[in-house]
Amino acid sequence: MAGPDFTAVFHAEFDFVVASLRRLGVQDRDVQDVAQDVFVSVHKHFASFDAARRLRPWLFGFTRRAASNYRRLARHAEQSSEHEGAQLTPRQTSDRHESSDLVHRALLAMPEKRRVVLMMADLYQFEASEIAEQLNVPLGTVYSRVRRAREEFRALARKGMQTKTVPRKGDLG
Amino acid sequence: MNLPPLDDELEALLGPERAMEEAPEGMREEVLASTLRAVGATPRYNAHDVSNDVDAGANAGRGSWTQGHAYVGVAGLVLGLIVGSLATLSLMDAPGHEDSNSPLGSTPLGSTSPIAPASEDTSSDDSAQASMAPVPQHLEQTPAPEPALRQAPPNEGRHAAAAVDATADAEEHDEVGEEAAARARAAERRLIDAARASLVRGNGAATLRTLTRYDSEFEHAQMREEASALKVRALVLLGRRTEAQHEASRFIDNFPQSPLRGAVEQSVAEVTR
Repeated sequence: MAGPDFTAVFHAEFDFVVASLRRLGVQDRDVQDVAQDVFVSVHKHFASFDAARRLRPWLFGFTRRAASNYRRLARHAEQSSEHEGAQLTPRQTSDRHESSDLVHRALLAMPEKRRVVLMMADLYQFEASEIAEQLNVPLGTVYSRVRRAREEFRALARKGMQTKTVPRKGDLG
Repeated sequence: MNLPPLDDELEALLGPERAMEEAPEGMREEVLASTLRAVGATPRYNAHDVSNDVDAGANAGRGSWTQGHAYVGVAGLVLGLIVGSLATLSLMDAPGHEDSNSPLGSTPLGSTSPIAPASEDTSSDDSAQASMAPVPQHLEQTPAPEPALRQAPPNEGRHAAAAVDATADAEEHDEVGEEAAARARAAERRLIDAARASLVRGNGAATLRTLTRYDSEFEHAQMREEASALKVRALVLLGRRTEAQHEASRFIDNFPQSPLRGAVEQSVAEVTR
């Protein structure tokens, strides 16, 4: 049975997990299902968490794996690709929403590797060593990947602002 | 060593996103409840479902649920033996078995599952019990007239009454049997529909979990052909090629004339290209 610590973590980090799943390409209709999978897995490994470390990088590992499993399904990949290159919807009712929509679509248009590293570095502000540990890559790779991810994101966002359309994967080479 | 900071342009775009982490209202409570249900019991893993930690953990609740139904199934067996010819079907549709701790209410399928609500099955089981009640009462009453019958010589009226009783018993059993069979068919149909809905949603893992539940719950299932075809498609969707091929071979062996055979073969052909 889950102890109070797990429940506290759940409440503290639920929004983080949900937002991350969306940014990792999980469709809105499936977010709840995949979020549950994440927390079931977190619960299973909760005792092994090293309290001396920060929780979010550890939690993001479960989130990333669940989203990756989700994306392995061909149907989801197909539907995700429909997002890319689509016209920005008129749902934005303010500049805030318009900007958020643009950022979200630009993120989704990025290859997974660079999208993940951009999220970890610039949205969640993980340290380079935490990213390296989570992705199991050398620090140098983290730096180069972050640099390239930022430039790719910048190009996608600029193009999105000009045309209201976010290019498809690969359009930027 | 820290990463270089964002320039103003990227900070203006990404900075506000750091605060946008609000889940829809109500989702938090639903996920917490379903997560605690899923992890709150001994897991019973299935080779098809344990493709990763996520699936394995989610199966914890389902294992418990299935075991619980096994107990209910035993109770249903005892009851079924008492009422005679209804034994098997009563067993498979034991009271409340669709309701308590439903894995489809506690898992990724959760709130979107097309499985019928608890109240529906509970009420139908209550009515089933009510309709079964007269049967044992009647059997208990049967010895009572015997002394009188021994004293009186046989006559046509007695035979006619006995024939009427026997006919009534048979009809009563038939009616209850038809009800139980109909409930079993409906329960099967709901699970198959749930599996298909998961497949349509692209959730192959949930489809397999539902089909595992179907296999364990319906010993004398009537829709194995459809279940097997769905399983092939779910395995294909998950990219589990070898298992998909194995299941497709089994499907063709078991149902060589099935109208679903073409779709099954086509599914496997896609994954083996």
